[in-house]
Amino acid sequence: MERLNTLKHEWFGNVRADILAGIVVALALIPEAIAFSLIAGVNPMVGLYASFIIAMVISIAGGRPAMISAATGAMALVVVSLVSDHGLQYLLAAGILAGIIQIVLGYLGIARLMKFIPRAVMVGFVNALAILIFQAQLSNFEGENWIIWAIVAGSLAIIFLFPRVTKAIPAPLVAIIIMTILAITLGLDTKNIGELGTISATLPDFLFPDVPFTLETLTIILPYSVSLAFVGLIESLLTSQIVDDMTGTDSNKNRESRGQGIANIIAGFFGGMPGCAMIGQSVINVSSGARGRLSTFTAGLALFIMIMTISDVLMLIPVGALVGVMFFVSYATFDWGSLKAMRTAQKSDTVVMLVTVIVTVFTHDLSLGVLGGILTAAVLFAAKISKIDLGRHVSADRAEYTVNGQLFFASTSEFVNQFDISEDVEAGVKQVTIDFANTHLWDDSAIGAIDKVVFKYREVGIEPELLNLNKDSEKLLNTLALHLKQQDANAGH
Amino acid sequence: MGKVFLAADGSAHSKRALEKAIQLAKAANASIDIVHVISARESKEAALNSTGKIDLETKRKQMLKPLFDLAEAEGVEYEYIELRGEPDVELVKYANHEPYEYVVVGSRGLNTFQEFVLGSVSHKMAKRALAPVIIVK
Repeated sequence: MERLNTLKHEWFGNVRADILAGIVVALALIPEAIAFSLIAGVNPMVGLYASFIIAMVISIAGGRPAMISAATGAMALVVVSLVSDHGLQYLLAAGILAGIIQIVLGYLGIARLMKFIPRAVMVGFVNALAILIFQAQLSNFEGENWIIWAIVAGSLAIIFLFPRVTKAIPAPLVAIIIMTILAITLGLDTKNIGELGTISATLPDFLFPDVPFTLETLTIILPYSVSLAFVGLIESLLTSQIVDDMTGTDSNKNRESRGQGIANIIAGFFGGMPGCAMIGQSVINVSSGARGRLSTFTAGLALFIMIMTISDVLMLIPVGALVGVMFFVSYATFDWGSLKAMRTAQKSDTVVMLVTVIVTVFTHDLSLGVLGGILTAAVLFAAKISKIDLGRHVSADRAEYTVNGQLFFASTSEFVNQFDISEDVEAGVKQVTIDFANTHLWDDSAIGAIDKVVFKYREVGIEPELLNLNKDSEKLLNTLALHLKQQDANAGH
Repeated sequence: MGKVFLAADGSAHSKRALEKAIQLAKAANASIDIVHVISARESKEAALNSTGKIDLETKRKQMLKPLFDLAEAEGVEYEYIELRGEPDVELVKYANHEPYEYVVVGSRGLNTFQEFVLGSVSHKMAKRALAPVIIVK
């Protein structure tokens, strides 16, 4: 009963505002769906189908009401080379496989693991995404005259200034409409969407992707599917966190992960490219008053109706207007605060962010950028935590060492090197104590290092005393330490 | 007992605005409503820079803590009010929902370009709030 009430609330708790917001989002989705199709190198229909299918499926299967998912730039960028090398059918197959991976990851509780992605990597992710979206637009200027520049500039002016008039209508949409009308009425000599692909009022077919079911196909699509699965989840879970905070409510992140998978599978079978949650569109949706699942569903349905009714008009949109919208998407995606933060943030964070951006921009694959960022962060973290410091205090024939810092594989050599045995001998030391109160022994390397130190002292006839080990460390030492076993063996003689 | 409205965003400007609000509150024997609007922009930046809900809310509290500390140190009664949405719209709406003695707002929290695009919050409050508005530079 309570579940039914929750369900009712999630769907029909906010009907009027949800429907209005959904329509606003549908209008804002059109240029993006088309532009992201062009980035991926597929016909605009592939992105439009994807957008309405994913939005409708995720409204039911997702875990974050009022979040918008559709075809996205992040996912389009991952598949550029797959489409150019192997074609659309492989993209659809890769999308379906990515969906399956996402469902599995959702059941494995991937949302919990996302916490381990350093924040600097997330910042790098959005910055790299912004740069790639910007970069992807530049080819549109090739072989074009000055008119496209004028249209881009005009679109951007409208996008940045129109919100001063009203925020109720998305400014990018206004820019598209005005520029399209100008292009038609003035008969401007500039390329439009219709010259890049066709948009037609046809229903999508349910089809298996036309690829051979072989191991070779799998080896082609699997790397892309894994990238898609992770990129999609990273952006979706980040977006859900934003929507959580904007609405002051919680969401089910693992359900969202599974929902993303379901949506991508269904989109793939209906000829749509894979997608994920969209930060910009979700912000538009919530800012327009949306709170429930109905808003996302309405966005998908309204988009479907528009494709079926005004597809001819959509083809008349000048490419320059789309480029303007994408420049704005790039601007809005970039985390400008991170530039300011570079001055104050820790150097390691800045390095991790830049590695994420640079790897992504060079490989054109956000998942590789994230991987590079995580590895860099891990190495820097290990370097930071592997600093180990020994205090040495000698009084009469007694040398007291105190260990400060974590003892594990990365800090062992620094640990061993800081014992000055020859100097101890010269100073006439007969007794050595090593105080472990401020450290923890983490692995077999740590025990190995202690063994090494103990054996070295035994060579000069000193049996060092190990003091103040914490419980876990002592247990590890007792099970693994060789010097204890040899001592036992000696005692047995 | 009257109330003074303070628009707060954790910036240096809003700290100076609070100092003014404290003066006014003391003179009028009033308490202060410290009002913070969580905008879409703030949500986005907060989500990017925190590992989860608890982390995010802790950081937000830390951002505003200097304001609460100052009010407490000055011995002025205050209440913290958290709103969500467009800062200018929500602040004006809340400032007009009950009669305040004064509305105090910092001159700017955003950078010049954002101000150019979005218009300034303090300007809109000055125009639309019913109580006397003090913009602190």
